[in-house]
Amino acid sequence: MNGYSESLNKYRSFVQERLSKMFYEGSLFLLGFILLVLIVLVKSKTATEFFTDPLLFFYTIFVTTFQLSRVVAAIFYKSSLAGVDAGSTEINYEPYVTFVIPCKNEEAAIEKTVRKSFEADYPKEKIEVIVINDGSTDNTLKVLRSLKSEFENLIIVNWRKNRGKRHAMAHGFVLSKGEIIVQLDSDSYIDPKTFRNLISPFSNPEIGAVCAHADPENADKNWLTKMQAAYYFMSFRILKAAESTFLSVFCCSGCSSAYRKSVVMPTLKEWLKEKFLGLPVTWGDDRSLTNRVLRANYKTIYTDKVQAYTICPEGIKIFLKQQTRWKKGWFVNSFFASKFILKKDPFVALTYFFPLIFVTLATPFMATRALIYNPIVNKVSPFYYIFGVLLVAGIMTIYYRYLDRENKYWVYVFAWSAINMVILSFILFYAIFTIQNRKWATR
Amino acid sequence: MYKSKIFFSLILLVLVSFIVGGSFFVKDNSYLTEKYIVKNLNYYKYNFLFDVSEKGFAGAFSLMNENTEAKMEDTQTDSIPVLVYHGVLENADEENISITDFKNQMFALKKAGWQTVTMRDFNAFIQGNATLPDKSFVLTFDDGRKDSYYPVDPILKTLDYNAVIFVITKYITEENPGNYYLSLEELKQMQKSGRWEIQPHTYDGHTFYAIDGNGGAGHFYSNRLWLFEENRLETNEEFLARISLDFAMAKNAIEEKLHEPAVGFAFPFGDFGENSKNIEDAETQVLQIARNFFPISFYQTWPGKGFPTNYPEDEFLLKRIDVEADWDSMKLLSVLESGQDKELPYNSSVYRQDDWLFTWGDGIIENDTLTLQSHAQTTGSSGFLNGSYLWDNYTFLADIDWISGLSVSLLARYKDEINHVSCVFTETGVRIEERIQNQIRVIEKRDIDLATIGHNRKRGVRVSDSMVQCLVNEKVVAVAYTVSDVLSHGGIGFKIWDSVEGSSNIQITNVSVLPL
Repeated sequence: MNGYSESLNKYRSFVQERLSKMFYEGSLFLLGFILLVLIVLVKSKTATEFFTDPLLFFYTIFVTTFQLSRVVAAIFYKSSLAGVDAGSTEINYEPYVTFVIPCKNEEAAIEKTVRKSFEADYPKEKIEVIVINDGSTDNTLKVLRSLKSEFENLIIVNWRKNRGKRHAMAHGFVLSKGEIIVQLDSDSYIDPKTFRNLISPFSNPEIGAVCAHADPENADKNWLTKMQAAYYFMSFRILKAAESTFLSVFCCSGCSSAYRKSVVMPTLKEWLKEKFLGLPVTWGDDRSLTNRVLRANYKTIYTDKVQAYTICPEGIKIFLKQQTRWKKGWFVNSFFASKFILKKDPFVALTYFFPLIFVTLATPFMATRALIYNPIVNKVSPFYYIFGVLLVAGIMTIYYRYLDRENKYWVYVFAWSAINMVILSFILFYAIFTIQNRKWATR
Repeated sequence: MYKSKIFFSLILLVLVSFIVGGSFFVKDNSYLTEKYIVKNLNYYKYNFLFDVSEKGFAGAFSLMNENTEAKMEDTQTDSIPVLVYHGVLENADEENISITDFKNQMFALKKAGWQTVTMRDFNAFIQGNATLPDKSFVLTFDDGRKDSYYPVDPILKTLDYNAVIFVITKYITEENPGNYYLSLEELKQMQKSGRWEIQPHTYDGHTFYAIDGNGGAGHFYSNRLWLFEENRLETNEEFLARISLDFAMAKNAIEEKLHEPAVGFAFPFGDFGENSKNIEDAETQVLQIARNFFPISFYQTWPGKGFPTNYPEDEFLLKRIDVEADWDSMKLLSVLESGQDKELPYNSSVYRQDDWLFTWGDGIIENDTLTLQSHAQTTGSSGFLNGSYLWDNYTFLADIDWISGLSVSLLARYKDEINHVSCVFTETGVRIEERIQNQIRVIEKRDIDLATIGHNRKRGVRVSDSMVQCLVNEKVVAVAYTVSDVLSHGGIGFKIWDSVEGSSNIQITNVSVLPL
């Protein structure tokens, strides 16, 4: 009798859970559809000017479709990832792994990064950690030395003078014994329990690089970090996932990614000496390295099964500097990738790569037109433009909520969209104008 | 991979089709618009406001539906005024009224018992085929603008009114109506509501056109236009062909696109050839052509054109009262009420604003005096009594304080400035004049020594069938016959004159008109 009522209760709570999930997902779907209808209503405003201004109509449809296509592509991400696993050629794949961690003045954070690396759920004898102390002036070296006594496989490379992140990475790559190199930022670490998932995709011989899912550890600091937390989730779990669906992630982010050493080594020298307009390129090292993996005809993917944590800027000034650096990296590498991507993967090139370049370059102009020029010159309210932008952000947010109901930063997607509309898209031009300034400028 | 690519592409295709198809569907759908929704929400607002204004705040919420069936006027009207508006805006400008004023005007008219009639009923009335109740009027809007429809329609719905909109038909046949003019879809929507009739304003004659090679411009329907390619003015035949074509296209657009008979044509700018700059008898020619296409036509009237309402005898060209942007509801009501046909006997010692319309010089209405005076640019002044048009046989007496001027005339059988009879009193005598189509004929002249009769201020004129008598102090001082059939009826008026500008002035304290 007791067992019967217990199982009945279990069954009841199971049904309740299922019903609640169905209701939740059903509501999201309905809301998404409503937003889509609202998008149609907004677009119809432009359609009325179709005969006088057909280009504007095509543009707005193109941009909206492009943005929505990211969500559509992300929907297929899971099955694509399963495909990668299915392409595995080795069972019990456990190659030797080297962590490469360049650092400078990280006395506070470096211990955790190193410790978490050694704690990885992986055979200890197959892990080595190389830390390149790139001219630190604080106690970083002292911290490292004390760790050395604890971890035999910790290799410390100490440079008195700062030589730059790229050099440090390259040096680590050269010293590494591992078949797979995990590149970590000095303030980032990978959740040890999930580490194995970063390595397992390499059992598929086509995979050249794997990018982990990263979230800011300091997300709750202030509104800026919360906004970045929302952006990180969206840009990894939706945008990178969308790239990963077609096995071409263009940037395995520097904070936590893994590379197949045999793919990276042949291109290392050229990568180290990368120049743009005659000057060495000091930013976008991660994007640049990923692009070289792609060029070598390997696949690059993102995995949501590895959880990494990093630190995001807490002040606006540093945040904007970081954004500028990323935009510069994107700009320079877009040139680089445009030379081979069409040949390598025409589908990705035509459905994603070139449209992205077009949209990114056009957005600041269209934003200026809609937010400044039209209201002043033609007395046209920017309401529909802003509403349209927020609607697309709304669709992103709905998918975001679907992917992770617990993630509490989703509201900030709208803040991100708004800031992107008025500031960040314009930073691209600032970045292009100052492209000859090669200073790193966040540390 | 391939599967994902195919599904991805397919979904994207569906998405694009949905957005593009949807936006075109929405674009052409006149119901799925913000304006339509706002319009319908406004209906509830106005409905409530009207209830409050009628029954008070508590009454508006009362569930008891009092029997407020419109009190049907038993009497039939003899004449119908037609009002013309353009757009209705948030804030009034020179041409367009504010929404608040418009709402107040319509509410006031409704409460005073005025009811709109359709263009078809109005036409039947004019043709003598139908009778309509007292206090009927026609509400019209010119140009076919969006801001004539969206702000107005909820008010019409609240009051159970209907309206006529005169549209520039090129915007429903070929040119993009943009955000200013109503699209064909919207006009169909209006038609479907049963509150709107769509009538022609012009096909493409609503702007100024070159009428010479030197930048001179004029109206489309009343001028021969300048042909730049040939460096000449069009011939009269070309002019007639051009306006015929425009009339025909306007008519066809209404009849073919909206399946509504084109009953009335509203002349753009109210110009039916009167303002022609380069054709002598433009008016006759234009009206003659227009008659071939439409049963009736409209222009915006002014006091010089006589009584502002329309009678069944006016056949083709009908009058509209241009509601000015600064009129409030009291003013409009006063204008309409003044135009209602007045009963005989008529006696007035207190003058209402708008009862007298002034066609020349200055007219000032104060409580108990009606003053006519010439101003610096006129040698005289004149005015007539609104609503007196149908009077036929009567004695018209007035107490006049003749302050200055060489002559004072009492007008009778007054139709307009160019059709009436008059007794012209001077210092030395009196003469009877008949004025038909501006041709003045003196039919009697008498010298009178005013001193022998007594210097009383009371003067008068009596008209009975074909007889005209002039009276001083209620005594007949002159008699004449042979009043033309044209002037078988008509109202009363005054006119003063002096040879010098700004030097005539009379004050009238009492006016009485007795039937014979």
